[in-house]
Amino acid sequence: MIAAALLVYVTQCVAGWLVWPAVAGARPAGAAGLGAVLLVGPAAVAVQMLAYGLLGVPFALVAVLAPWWAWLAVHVARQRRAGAPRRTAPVPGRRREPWALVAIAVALAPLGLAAAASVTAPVCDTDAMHNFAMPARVFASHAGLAADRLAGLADPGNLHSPPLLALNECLLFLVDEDSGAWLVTPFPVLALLAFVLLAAAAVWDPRRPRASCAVFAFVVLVPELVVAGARGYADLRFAATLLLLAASAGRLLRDRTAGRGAVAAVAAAAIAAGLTKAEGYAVAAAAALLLAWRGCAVREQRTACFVAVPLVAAAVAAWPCWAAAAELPVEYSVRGGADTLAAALVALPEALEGVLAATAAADAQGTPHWGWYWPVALGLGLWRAAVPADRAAHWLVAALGLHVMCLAFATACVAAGTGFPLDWVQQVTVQRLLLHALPWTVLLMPTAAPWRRA
Amino acid sequence: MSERTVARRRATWRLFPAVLLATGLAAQVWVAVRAAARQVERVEFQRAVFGPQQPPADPANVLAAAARNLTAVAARLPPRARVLVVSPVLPRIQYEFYFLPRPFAMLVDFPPDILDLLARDRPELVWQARHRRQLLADRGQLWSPDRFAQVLPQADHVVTFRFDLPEPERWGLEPAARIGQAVLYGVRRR
Repeated sequence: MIAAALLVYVTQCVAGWLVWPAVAGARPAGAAGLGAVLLVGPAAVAVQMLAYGLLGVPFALVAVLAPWWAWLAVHVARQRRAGAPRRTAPVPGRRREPWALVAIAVALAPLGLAAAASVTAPVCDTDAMHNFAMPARVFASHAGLAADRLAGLADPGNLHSPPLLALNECLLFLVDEDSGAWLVTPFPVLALLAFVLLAAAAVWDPRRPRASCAVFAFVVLVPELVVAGARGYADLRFAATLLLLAASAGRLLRDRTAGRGAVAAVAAAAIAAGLTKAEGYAVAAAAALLLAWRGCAVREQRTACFVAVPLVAAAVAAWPCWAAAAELPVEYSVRGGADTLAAALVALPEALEGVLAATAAADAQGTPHWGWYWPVALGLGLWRAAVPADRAAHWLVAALGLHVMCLAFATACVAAGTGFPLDWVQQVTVQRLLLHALPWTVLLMPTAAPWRRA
Repeated sequence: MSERTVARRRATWRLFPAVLLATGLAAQVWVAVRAAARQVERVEFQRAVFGPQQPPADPANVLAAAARNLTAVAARLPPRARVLVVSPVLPRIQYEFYFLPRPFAMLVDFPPDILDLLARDRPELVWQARHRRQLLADRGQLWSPDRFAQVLPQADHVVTFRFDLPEPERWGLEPAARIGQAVLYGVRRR
């Protein structure tokens, strides 16, 4: 059973390892490549299973896993026939940077803690159960999307939540239905690993290893990352996907000669975001707009962009359209005494205050959350914005500001609309929404990719 | 302003992010150590309630008890048996998860007194509790003897979790197993 579960996880990585170079045009290498593999792989498997579900192909381990291994076999055979070197020859005289080893040691601490917390308890409550494990087990026990059973669940969670987690977890329930609740727990830890790898790639400047190490430690020592890595929510995976999307979009925007690969990388990251969280619909729409604008502005990328936009739209819209057609129940819709736009706007100042309060070191119960991350990160961002030469900083600071305002507005809507007390919303919802704003601040760090000297 | 002053100010300005980052990192390490201590506590707690050394019925943690007891109960049921679960409203447990793919129904004991208790002790939760009760009522999932009598003919087995079913013999129920906080009854057809 453990071997079969490992096979599922390895297959997700194989899928990413095959799909990412196919779309991005370069073999995954380094921390950025590995991070991309960990995010794009499950997204590719989710798209595959969604297609199976819509076409009526029954979910079975062999049917889902075999195509990836067949593709890998063909890929390896082609490489051998082409006589490609198996691995890059080591550069003579190159030694491993000691600060990189320090960074790896720092990263292992949150990863180890999250892994230990995740494997000592099965999924049994909160969103990890209601939104993901429950539909995953329905998919597995009915070998398909099982619209009737989902619609008739006695206690439906948020079934409209995008299906990436549920579909990938379904594979582990196919391994063993009774032990599935234990087998799915490493999945969020892999999201934490992806985030750590992508953050390392984003902030590591080889010419400034000591400063890069400090920045990296500052980013990954946020307690909220460990909590999110162990609890099985989709927010950390979504944040990592946003980082991947930002890196891919940066490559596309910086290089007018970037070919099909740069466009496809943005599209793949946008699809992954749209399949991970409902907020990803907005992200995918923004990415599609970016691609459409790029297609109009740059002739060399026109065809790729105009092919990518409908693909993103189709992949992301498939689940909500199916869920609406299947009439899946919506339990957590915003409703209550103050569900109007005006009521949400009235609650906005208090919600903004709550967002600021949620950035404090610990909550009333003494649980450490973000520590000093947000005050320091925002200070760095404002400094960047004040330096006239850093033109990109203005865009990033504006994006971050906009994101925080959206976050405050979402908090106001949740608090005013559902009747949940605002302090509860601040402790639970805001902590998770702040994860979504995290990638912007990673890019504002002093050694981050946008500021590197050529 | 002399060139030297300008140069000094520029140097100070350039130092700003480094100083800010160093301060933040020092504070962050302190917070991370505290968070790690809490996380280790959490791991130890989880190992205590979910670990293999615990007996199947673990009253210390309801979610752990549900995971253990209901999995054990489900293992005794045929794959096509129709299951009816009766439970109290708190905590919210995905009972159906443990009995899939069997046809499933659920009744929840949610007396209105709980709303009064909440209004006194946790008024901020009243709206949500009332909303949940209304949802259960709309779906016909609120426990009452009459509702139980209506739903019972569609079940082959009744499972209660942390709930004492009044006079099970009256309903034609035969106790088949008691596993921790769960009781499995077979439905006697008349």
